[in-house]
Amino acid sequence: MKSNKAHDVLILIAEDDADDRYLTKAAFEENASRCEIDFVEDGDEVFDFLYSRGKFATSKSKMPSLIMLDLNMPKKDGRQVLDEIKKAPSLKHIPIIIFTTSKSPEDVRQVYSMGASSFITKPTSFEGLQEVARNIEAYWVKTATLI
Amino acid sequence: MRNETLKYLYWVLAGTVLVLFLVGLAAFRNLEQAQGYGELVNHTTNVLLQAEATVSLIKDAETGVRGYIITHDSKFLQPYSQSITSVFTAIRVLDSMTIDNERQRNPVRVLDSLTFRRFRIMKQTMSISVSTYDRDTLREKMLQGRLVMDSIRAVTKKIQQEEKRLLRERQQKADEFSKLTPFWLGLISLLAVALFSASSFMVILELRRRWRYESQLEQAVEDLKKTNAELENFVYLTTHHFQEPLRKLQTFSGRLMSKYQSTLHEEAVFMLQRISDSAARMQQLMDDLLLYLRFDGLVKKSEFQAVDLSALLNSVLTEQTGKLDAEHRPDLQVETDHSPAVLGDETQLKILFEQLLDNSLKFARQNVRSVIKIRTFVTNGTEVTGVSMEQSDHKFCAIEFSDNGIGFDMAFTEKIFQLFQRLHHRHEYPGTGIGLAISKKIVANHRGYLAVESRINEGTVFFVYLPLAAASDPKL
Repeated sequence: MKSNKAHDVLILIAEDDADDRYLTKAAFEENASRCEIDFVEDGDEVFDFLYSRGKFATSKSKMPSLIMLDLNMPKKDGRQVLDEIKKAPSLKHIPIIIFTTSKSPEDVRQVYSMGASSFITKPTSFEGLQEVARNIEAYWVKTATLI
Repeated sequence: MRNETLKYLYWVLAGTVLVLFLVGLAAFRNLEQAQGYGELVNHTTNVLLQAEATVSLIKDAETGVRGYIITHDSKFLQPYSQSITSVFTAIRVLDSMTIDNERQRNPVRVLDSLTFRRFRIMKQTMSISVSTYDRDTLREKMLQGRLVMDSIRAVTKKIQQEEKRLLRERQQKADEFSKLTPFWLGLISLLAVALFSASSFMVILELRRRWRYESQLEQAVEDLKKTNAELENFVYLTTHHFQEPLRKLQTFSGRLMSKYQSTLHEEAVFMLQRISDSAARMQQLMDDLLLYLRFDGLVKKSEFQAVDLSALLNSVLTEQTGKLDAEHRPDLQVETDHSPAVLGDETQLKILFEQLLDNSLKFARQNVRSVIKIRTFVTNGTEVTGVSMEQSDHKFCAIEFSDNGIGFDMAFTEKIFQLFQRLHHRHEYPGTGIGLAISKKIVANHRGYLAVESRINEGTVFFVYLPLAAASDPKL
C-alpha cells in the first residue's frame, strides 16, 4: 500500500467547502508531511472515490487509510456516509474521523455509536487547524497502526 | 360580560327555588284544606247524630210514661228513669259540640229548657194518673206534653238545619279555594318550568362558552409552544450556520497574520487584529447563545432526581474557589445544614451555582475582601417573589447567595437577567452577559424562581427558590 515514499498514509477528506479544503490542505502540508490528503466534495463522491467510479473512474486512486467526514454536506450528509461505510464489508475497517463545526453532545454520542473513531470540532483559528493536523499525524501515523 | 351572565344566573336560580317553594306551600295548603273539610263533615255528622239521640232518649221516656199511665206497672218506668239521667248529659255534649257556633247557642238552650219542661210534665202526668186519674186534667197535661214535644222536635230540626247550613257554607268556601288552587298551582308550576328552562339554558350557554374559551386557550398554548419550538430551532440553526463563515473569518485572518505579518504595514496588522478580535467576540456570543439554548427542555421533569443541595454547593465552592490565588479567595460563610433534597437535574443546578458564584466573584469591589454568604432554608410559597397562584401553597427550598460586591441599581433588575444584557463595559468586567440568563432559565426549568436584591457599593443577594417535592412523591 505504501507506494508513495513521501507519504505514509492517505487520508480522504470529504469537505464541501472550498475554503475549508484550502485551509485544511495548507495545514496538513505544512504540519503533517507524512499524510497525503485527497479531497472529495460531497457524500456521493466519497463512494465514487472508494469504488473508483464516476469522476474517479479513470484515476488510479488507492484506498484511503483514514477518512475525515464533515457532518453537514449536500446530498449525502456525513451521518449517511458513515452509516453506509460501516455497513459495507469492504470498507468498514477504515477508521472515520468526524470533522465538523458541531460540538453538540448529541452529535458526538450519535456518531460514536454509529462507529466513528474520532470526533473533532473544527477549530476556529488557523493555529488550531495546524494543531489538529499535527495531532492527527502524531496519533494515526506515528502511534496507531493503519491498513 | 361573563360576570353579568353569572349574576343573572344567580337570580334565575334563586327565582326557581322561590317558585318551587311557593308551589310546595300551595300544595301543602290545599292538602290541609281537604283534610280540614273532611273533619268538618265528620263533626257535622256527629252533631246530627247527637241531636237525634237526644230526641230519641226523650221519646223513649215518653213511651215508658205512657205505658205506666195505662198499666201503673213500674217496669214501664225503666226507660224514663234511664233517660232522665242521660238526656241532660247528651244535651251538654251537644252544647259543647256546637260551642264554636253562636247561632246554635240559643236553640240548644231552648232544647235544654224544653226537655226539662217535658220531663216535668211527664212527672205531673204520672202523679195525676196515680192520684185522681181525672181524665180532663190528664188529657190537658198530656196535650201540654205533646205540644212541648213538638217544640223539642222543631228546635232539634233547627239545630240540625243550622249544622247542615254551616257545612254547606264551609264546603262552598273550600270548593272555591280548591277551584282556585289548581289555577295557581298550574301557573306557578309553569313559571317554575320556565325559570328552570331559562336557567338551564343559561348554564349550558355559559358552559359552552367556557368550553369554547378552553379549547381556544388550549389551541393558543399549542400554537405558542409550536412557535416557541420553531423559534428556538430557528435560532439554533442560525447560530449553527453562522459558525461556518465566522470560523473562516477567524481562520483566514489568523492565516494572513501568521504568514504575512512581516510584510504587512503596521496599520494593516492593527486592522487585521481588530477583525480577528471582533470575530472572536462573535464566536463567544454564538457559543454562549448555543449554550443558553441548550438549557431549553434539556432534561424532562420525569428525569429529575433528588439532589443534595448542601453537597452540591460545597463541591461547587471548593472547585471554583480552589482555582483562585490566596488574595482573591473570598471569605465564604456557608450555612447549608439541613437543606432538604430537591428534585432536579444535578448538572443544571451545578451550572446555576457556578454562575451565581462566578457573578459574586466577578463583581467584587476593588480592595475589599470579598465576603460570600450562602444560606439555605425552607420557606412557604407565599414568601416567594412573583410566585404563581398555583404554586403559592407549595413549599420551597430557598438558597440565598449574598456578596459584598459592587451591587447594582435595582432599576436594572430585569435587564440583568436578559440574554447578552450587561450593566458594565466589556473592558471593565469580562463576559457576554449570559450567566444570569442561564441561571434564570435553569431555575425556570425547575419551576422555581430567581429574585435579586442589591445596593450599589454594598452588595447583591440572589434568592433561588426551588420547589420541594411533595411528601407523596415516591422519589423522596
